[in-house]
Amino acid sequence: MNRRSFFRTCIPGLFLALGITSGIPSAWAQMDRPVTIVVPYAPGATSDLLGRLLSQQMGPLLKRTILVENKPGAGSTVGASQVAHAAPDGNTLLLATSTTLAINPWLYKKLPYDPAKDFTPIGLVASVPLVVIVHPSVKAQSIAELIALAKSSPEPLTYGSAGNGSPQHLAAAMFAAATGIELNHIPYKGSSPALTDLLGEQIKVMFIDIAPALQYIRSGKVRALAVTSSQRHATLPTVPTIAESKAPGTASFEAVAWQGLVAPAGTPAAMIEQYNKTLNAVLAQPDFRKRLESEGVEPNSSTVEHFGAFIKSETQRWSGIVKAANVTLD
Amino acid sequence: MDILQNLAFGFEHALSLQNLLFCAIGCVVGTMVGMLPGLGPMATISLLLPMTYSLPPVGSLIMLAGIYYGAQYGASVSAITMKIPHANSIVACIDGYEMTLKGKTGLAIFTAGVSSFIGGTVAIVVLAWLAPMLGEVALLFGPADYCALILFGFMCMSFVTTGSLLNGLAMCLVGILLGQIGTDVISGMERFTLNLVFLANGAGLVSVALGCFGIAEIAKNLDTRAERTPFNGKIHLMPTWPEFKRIIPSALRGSAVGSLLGILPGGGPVIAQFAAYAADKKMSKYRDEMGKGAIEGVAGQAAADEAAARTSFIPLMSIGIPENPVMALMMAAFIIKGIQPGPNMIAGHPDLFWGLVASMWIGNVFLLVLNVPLVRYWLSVFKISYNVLFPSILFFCCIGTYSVNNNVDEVFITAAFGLIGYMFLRLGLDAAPLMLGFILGPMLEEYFRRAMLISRGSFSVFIERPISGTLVALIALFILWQIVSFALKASRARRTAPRPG
Repeated sequence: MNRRSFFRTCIPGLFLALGITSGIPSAWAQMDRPVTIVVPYAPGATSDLLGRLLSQQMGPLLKRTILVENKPGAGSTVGASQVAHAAPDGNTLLLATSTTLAINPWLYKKLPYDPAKDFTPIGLVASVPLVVIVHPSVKAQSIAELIALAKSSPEPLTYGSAGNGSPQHLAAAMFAAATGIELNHIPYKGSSPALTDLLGEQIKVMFIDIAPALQYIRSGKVRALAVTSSQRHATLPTVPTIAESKAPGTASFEAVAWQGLVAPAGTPAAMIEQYNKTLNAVLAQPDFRKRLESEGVEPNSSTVEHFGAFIKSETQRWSGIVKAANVTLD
Repeated sequence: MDILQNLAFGFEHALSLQNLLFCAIGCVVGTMVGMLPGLGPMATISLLLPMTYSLPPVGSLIMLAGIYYGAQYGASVSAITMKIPHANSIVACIDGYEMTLKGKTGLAIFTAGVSSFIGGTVAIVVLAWLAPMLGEVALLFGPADYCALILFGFMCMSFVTTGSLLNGLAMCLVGILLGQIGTDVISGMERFTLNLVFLANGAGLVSVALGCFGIAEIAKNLDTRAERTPFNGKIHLMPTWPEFKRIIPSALRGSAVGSLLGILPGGGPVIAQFAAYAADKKMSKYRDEMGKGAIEGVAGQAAADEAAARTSFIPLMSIGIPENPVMALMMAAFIIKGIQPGPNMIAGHPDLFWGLVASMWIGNVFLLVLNVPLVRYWLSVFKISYNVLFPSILFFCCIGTYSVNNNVDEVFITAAFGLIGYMFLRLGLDAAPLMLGFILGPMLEEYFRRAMLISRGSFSVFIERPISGTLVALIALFILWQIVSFALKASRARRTAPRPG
């Protein structure tokens, strides 16, 4: 290529590229910047789905574009620390989970963010009860029978979880500690590979979010023994709670994961109020509620103050669970 | 025939003007994305997912699927022309890039196109006829079986090494060690992360592959100052008949390997390429040319990769389990449309399932028709002067690695691996076995430890389980055979060697 044609083609290109990288964003900044909801999990996770549904519904109500940004990694700490250190201008929100706010402080000695100080709560979005499932070959029809089976079997029953320190793991470990049985923990990278191994009878038991397990419970490929919430779940009305089993040690058993929106600390209160109202308006839509319920997720709305108090009490509850389960990381 | 009827029904849906358009958009976007360094289907699908909210379900899924398998083909093109691999086209950097250096880029890209077409077609036949049955295959594999399968994968190491075997082995071990960085799946402990948050997930496959191949190659070109002239002005595009005959068996082998490995969770296309390459190196008539720019080295990889990309839809659509991150994203796309992928999907949404299957074949034809005439335009990459080409490649590398986790740190990791990769290149060490170790090492560890946890430390599981038992026996036989054939060769050489004195 000769030099002239090089300049002729490339120089305008260069200017164009400069324009794209420098000029346009600054013009955007003066206009209405889109709101970003950071989802600290990989695309395809329950969190991701919730985030995308929320952005789809809240955007038109706020008359703003809401983007979902996946920042997966290290038990949601990567995404959480990014939002914790973002500008509190109301343009960056975090779809936090019980893991982000209530469990991680007890698992990690050093967190890159302070769950209590770095965030301002906006509102609860949903609670995600877990369900105890077993492979159909396991000879237990109820929680009481499962406990009896675990006590009588020569080798501890194996259970899978979405990872060390995941709510699934902690709930099962707390259950084992409370009922005095021994279970063999097999961690996986997320719920799906663990569920695959349960379907293939490589492992026997799982405490798992209802959403991914629902179709297998309905088709009889796995058997649901109980839910871990304090009340029965709408999608599984025939499945009792663990506390209903009346087995010793399970009287007040409750382990529910949840998801909520938070903003960086220092975000103006008026903005937080507006987000809370919009969020609750979305959560009140019957279609939206049905949508979440069909995913095994319980829509749950709250005021800003309520959510703040809820985070505090949950932090205490999970601290007890983490201690009972005797799990530490790093 | 039921299936023919179903396929006809599928084509009826897929051939509507609207769905054809979605398929075309998906394929074009996919090919473009595949050719850009680092920017894989994962990032693109997650970017485009919100845009599909307002589209009809069949159309949007056809489009997203098109992006996925279109990117598989595009990835081969960037590996062949610029030695810039995606996770699934690492092997194409060996022979494909060699072909480029010999001025046979056009032929290599044509081979990739035709082989992708063959691989895709075979996989679609598998998908249409066997999807409902094959889904269950994934459930038969326990941790011990995967372990044996991955060990089998390690056997490929000796085949992807072009230089000294000892160096290859060393590089493979380096890869395994690099794979140890990050959070240990079993204990949740962080290993070798130096307390850096961004290393908690380990070094990304994209970062390592881009650094060790693409960026290292650019650095090498900078310091030799010699003008690289792979494009000599004459487009050698259509293969001669003997060349064409070489594509077919290799592509068919690749399709078989890819279709099989695609069904199994975990590896999929990433492992399939290595296995296809190994199969060619063992079975092809032209195995002596492998590593020096053989057509087989491109054909097998492209076919395997394309086949695996399509059969990886099987577990998702038949049992509702996503086997890799891209499939997890596809699953989210299904769910957002209110469709639960799983055993009931084929019966409950036949238009979607058969429409998607039919569209995959239409996409296949489309990719072939689109890409073969375009080869001469891809070749024009070489007309761009290096002081424009290299910075733009680096620019796209940065965007690509950033988009994996939306994290700037990944860009720095890539830069670091560029430096390391350059060192390896200068020392004449192969990066392909390193990638193999990096991919398979952590998987082997994870499945091995899980198998041990489940069996409570008893090694007998590897022999007692039918699948792993068979695989372990095959591995043992293979090693034995290698030793025997080596000994035979050595003794024959001794006999024929002239006696001293």
